[in-house]
Amino acid sequence: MKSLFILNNPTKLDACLNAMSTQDGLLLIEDAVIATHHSGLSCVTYALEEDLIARGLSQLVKQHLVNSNIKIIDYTQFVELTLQYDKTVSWL
Amino acid sequence: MAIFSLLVTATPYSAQGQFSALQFVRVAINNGHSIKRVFFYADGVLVASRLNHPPSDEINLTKAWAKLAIEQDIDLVVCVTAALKRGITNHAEAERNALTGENLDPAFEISGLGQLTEAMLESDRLITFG
Repeated sequence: MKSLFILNNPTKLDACLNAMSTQDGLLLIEDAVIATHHSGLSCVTYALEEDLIARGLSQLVKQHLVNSNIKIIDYTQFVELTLQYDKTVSWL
Repeated sequence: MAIFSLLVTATPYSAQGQFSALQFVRVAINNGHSIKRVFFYADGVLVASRLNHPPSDEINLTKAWAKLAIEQDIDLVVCVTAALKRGITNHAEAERNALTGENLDPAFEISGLGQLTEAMLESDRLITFG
Protein backbone atom coordinates (compact mmCIF):
# COMPACT_ATOMS: atom_id res chain seq x y z
CA MET A 1 0.00 0.00 0.00
CA LYS A 2 1.61 3.23 -1.11
CA SER A 3 0.12 6.62 -0.36
CA LEU A 4 0.46 10.03 -1.95
CA PHE A 5 0.85 12.66 0.76
CA ILE A 6 -0.47 16.04 -0.36
CA LEU A 7 1.01 18.94 1.58
CA ASN A 8 -0.25 22.54 1.29
CA ASN A 9 1.44 24.05 4.34
CA PRO A 10 5.27 24.25 4.42
CA THR A 11 5.37 24.57 8.23
CA LYS A 12 4.00 21.02 8.49
CA LEU A 13 6.65 19.45 6.28
CA ASP A 14 8.61 17.73 9.03
CA ALA A 15 5.55 16.15 10.63
CA CYS A 16 4.41 14.98 7.21
CA LEU A 17 7.79 13.43 6.36
CA ASN A 18 7.81 11.64 9.73
CA ALA A 19 4.47 10.03 8.90
CA MET A 20 5.56 8.77 5.49
CA SER A 21 6.91 5.35 4.58
CA THR A 22 9.69 4.81 2.05
CA GLN A 23 7.32 3.81 -0.77
CA ASP A 24 5.08 6.87 -0.29
CA GLY A 25 5.20 9.98 -2.49
CA LEU A 26 4.98 13.64 -1.51
CA LEU A 27 3.10 16.23 -3.56
CA LEU A 28 3.72 19.87 -2.68
CA ILE A 29 0.85 22.23 -3.53
CA GLU A 30 -0.23 25.78 -2.65
CA ASP A 31 2.14 27.45 -0.11
CA ALA A 32 3.99 24.17 0.43
CA VAL A 33 5.72 24.50 -2.98
CA ILE A 34 8.27 26.65 -1.15
CA ALA A 35 9.45 23.42 0.49
CA THR A 36 11.05 22.52 -2.86
CA HIS A 37 14.02 24.42 -1.39
CA HIS A 38 14.22 22.02 1.55
CA SER A 39 17.39 19.97 1.39
CA GLY A 40 16.16 16.96 3.32
CA LEU A 41 13.64 15.62 0.81
CA SER A 42 14.71 12.04 0.24
CA CYS A 43 11.29 10.70 -0.78
CA VAL A 44 9.79 10.84 -4.27
CA THR A 45 8.61 14.45 -4.42
CA TYR A 46 6.39 16.32 -6.83
CA ALA A 47 5.57 20.03 -6.95
CA LEU A 48 2.58 21.62 -8.65
CA GLU A 49 3.82 23.93 -11.41
CA GLU A 50 0.82 26.29 -11.29
CA ASP A 51 1.50 27.04 -7.63
CA LEU A 52 5.25 27.44 -8.24
CA ILE A 53 4.56 29.96 -11.00
CA ALA A 54 2.09 31.85 -8.80
CA ARG A 55 4.88 32.34 -6.26
CA GLY A 56 7.63 33.20 -8.74
CA LEU A 57 9.50 29.99 -7.91
CA SER A 58 9.17 28.10 -11.18
CA GLN A 59 12.47 29.07 -12.84
CA LEU A 60 14.39 28.87 -9.57
CA VAL A 61 13.25 25.34 -8.94
CA LYS A 62 13.83 24.22 -12.52
CA GLN A 63 17.44 25.46 -12.41
CA HIS A 64 18.04 23.51 -9.23
CA LEU A 65 16.45 20.34 -10.49
CA VAL A 66 19.51 18.79 -12.13
CA ASN A 67 20.46 16.77 -9.07
CA SER A 68 17.15 16.77 -7.35
CA ASN A 69 14.43 14.15 -7.26
CA ILE A 70 11.65 16.74 -7.37
CA LYS A 71 9.37 16.42 -10.37
CA ILE A 72 7.37 19.43 -11.50
CA ILE A 73 3.87 18.43 -12.55
CA ASP A 74 0.74 20.14 -13.88
CA TYR A 75 -2.87 19.54 -12.82
CA THR A 76 -3.39 16.76 -15.38
CA GLN A 77 -0.42 14.90 -13.89
CA PHE A 78 -1.76 15.65 -10.39
CA VAL A 79 -5.01 13.86 -11.26
CA GLU A 80 -3.16 10.89 -12.77
CA LEU A 81 -0.74 10.74 -9.81
CA THR A 82 -3.62 10.21 -7.37
CA LEU A 83 -4.49 7.08 -9.38
CA GLN A 84 -0.92 5.76 -9.38
CA TYR A 85 -0.98 5.59 -5.58
CA ASP A 86 -3.41 3.43 -3.58
CA LYS A 87 -4.75 6.43 -1.69
CA THR A 88 -4.04 10.06 -0.95
CA VAL A 89 -3.43 11.67 2.42
CA SER A 90 -3.93 15.44 2.59
CA TRP A 91 -1.64 16.51 5.43
CA LEU A 92 -3.54 19.47 6.89
CA MET B 1 -11.46 6.21 -16.35
CA ALA B 2 -11.78 6.83 -12.65
CA ILE B 3 -14.46 8.17 -10.34
CA PHE B 4 -13.36 10.89 -7.92
CA SER B 5 -14.97 12.53 -4.93
CA LEU B 6 -13.65 15.60 -3.15
CA LEU B 7 -13.80 16.69 0.45
CA VAL B 8 -13.39 20.47 0.70
CA THR B 9 -12.75 21.97 4.15
CA ALA B 10 -10.81 25.07 3.05
CA THR B 11 -12.38 28.40 3.91
CA PRO B 12 -13.11 30.46 0.80
CA TYR B 13 -10.95 33.53 -0.01
CA SER B 14 -8.53 33.23 2.97
CA ALA B 15 -7.11 29.93 1.75
CA GLN B 16 -6.39 28.46 -1.65
CA GLY B 17 -8.09 25.09 -1.20
CA GLN B 18 -11.43 25.97 -2.80
CA PHE B 19 -9.67 27.16 -5.93
CA SER B 20 -7.37 24.13 -5.99
CA ALA B 21 -10.39 21.85 -5.68
CA LEU B 22 -12.14 23.63 -8.56
CA GLN B 23 -9.05 23.23 -10.72
CA PHE B 24 -8.80 19.55 -9.85
CA VAL B 25 -12.43 18.92 -10.79
CA ARG B 26 -12.14 20.82 -14.08
CA VAL B 27 -8.98 18.98 -15.13
CA ALA B 28 -10.28 15.56 -14.04
CA ILE B 29 -13.41 16.04 -16.16
CA ASN B 30 -11.40 17.36 -19.13
CA ASN B 31 -9.34 14.17 -18.98
CA GLY B 32 -12.36 11.90 -19.10
CA HIS B 33 -12.77 11.11 -15.40
CA SER B 34 -15.99 11.61 -13.50
CA ILE B 35 -16.79 13.34 -10.24
CA LYS B 36 -19.20 11.51 -7.99
CA ARG B 37 -19.59 14.24 -5.39
CA VAL B 38 -17.95 17.29 -3.83
CA PHE B 39 -18.62 17.35 -0.11
CA PHE B 40 -18.15 20.62 1.78
CA TYR B 41 -17.30 20.38 5.45
CA ALA B 42 -16.05 22.68 8.25
CA ASP B 43 -15.31 26.23 6.95
CA GLY B 44 -15.60 24.87 3.41
CA VAL B 45 -19.40 25.18 3.69
CA LEU B 46 -19.09 28.99 3.65
CA VAL B 47 -18.74 28.87 -0.13
CA ALA B 48 -22.36 27.71 -0.46
CA SER B 49 -23.92 31.06 0.48
CA ARG B 50 -25.55 32.72 -2.50
CA LEU B 51 -24.97 36.05 -0.72
CA ASN B 52 -21.19 35.81 -1.07
CA HIS B 53 -20.36 38.84 -3.18
CA PRO B 54 -16.63 39.35 -3.88
CA PRO B 55 -15.39 42.37 -5.89
CA SER B 56 -16.00 41.96 -9.61
CA ASP B 57 -12.27 41.57 -10.40
CA GLU B 58 -11.97 38.55 -8.08
CA ILE B 59 -13.19 35.02 -8.66
CA ASN B 60 -16.68 34.30 -7.34
CA LEU B 61 -16.10 30.82 -5.93
CA THR B 62 -19.81 30.21 -5.26
CA LYS B 63 -20.71 30.94 -8.87
CA ALA B 64 -17.71 28.98 -10.15
CA TRP B 65 -18.87 25.87 -8.28
CA ALA B 66 -22.48 26.42 -9.33
CA LYS B 67 -21.53 26.79 -12.99
CA LEU B 68 -19.41 23.65 -12.90
CA ALA B 69 -22.13 21.71 -11.10
CA ILE B 70 -24.79 22.66 -13.62
CA GLU B 71 -22.63 22.14 -16.71
CA GLN B 72 -21.19 18.81 -15.57
CA ASP B 73 -24.05 17.58 -13.39
CA ILE B 74 -21.92 17.36 -10.24
CA ASP B 75 -23.36 16.73 -6.80
CA LEU B 76 -22.38 19.59 -4.42
CA VAL B 77 -23.26 18.60 -0.88
CA VAL B 78 -22.90 20.75 2.23
CA CYS B 79 -22.76 19.19 5.70
CA VAL B 80 -25.91 20.25 7.57
CA THR B 81 -24.27 20.61 10.99
CA ALA B 82 -21.29 22.59 9.68
CA ALA B 83 -23.63 24.77 7.59
CA LEU B 84 -26.16 25.68 10.29
CA LYS B 85 -23.33 26.46 12.70
CA ARG B 86 -22.06 29.05 10.19
CA GLY B 87 -25.37 30.58 9.15
CA ILE B 88 -25.78 28.66 5.90
CA THR B 89 -29.32 27.32 5.49
CA ASN B 90 -31.92 26.38 2.91
CA HIS B 91 -35.68 26.82 3.32
CA ALA B 92 -36.34 23.43 4.92
CA GLU B 93 -33.57 23.76 7.53
CA ALA B 94 -34.59 27.35 8.29
CA GLU B 95 -38.14 26.21 8.99
CA ARG B 96 -37.04 23.22 11.04
CA ASN B 97 -34.79 25.41 13.19
CA ALA B 98 -37.03 28.50 13.36
CA LEU B 99 -34.57 30.68 11.44
CA THR B 100 -35.53 33.70 9.36
CA GLY B 101 -34.27 33.72 5.79
CA GLU B 102 -32.31 31.29 3.67
CA ASN B 103 -29.08 31.69 1.72
CA LEU B 104 -28.03 28.34 0.26
CA ASP B 105 -27.13 28.69 -3.41
CA PRO B 106 -29.52 26.45 -5.42
CA ALA B 107 -26.58 24.54 -6.97
CA PHE B 108 -25.77 23.11 -3.51
CA GLU B 109 -27.77 20.75 -1.34
CA ILE B 110 -27.69 20.30 2.41
CA SER B 111 -27.25 16.78 3.76
CA GLY B 112 -25.39 14.71 6.31
CA LEU B 113 -22.04 12.96 6.68
CA GLY B 114 -23.63 9.79 5.27
CA GLN B 115 -23.26 11.43 1.87
CA LEU B 116 -19.50 11.67 2.44
CA THR B 117 -19.29 8.00 3.48
CA GLU B 118 -21.28 6.96 0.40
CA ALA B 119 -19.04 9.07 -1.85
CA MET B 120 -15.94 7.40 -0.37
CA LEU B 121 -17.40 3.93 -0.96
CA GLU B 122 -18.51 4.63 -4.52
CA SER B 123 -15.42 6.50 -5.75
CA ASP B 124 -11.97 5.26 -6.74
CA ARG B 125 -10.32 8.13 -4.88
CA LEU B 126 -11.31 10.74 -2.31
CA ILE B 127 -9.14 13.86 -2.44
CA THR B 128 -9.22 16.35 0.43
CA PHE B 129 -8.61 20.07 -0.06
CA GLY B 130 -8.26 21.89 3.23
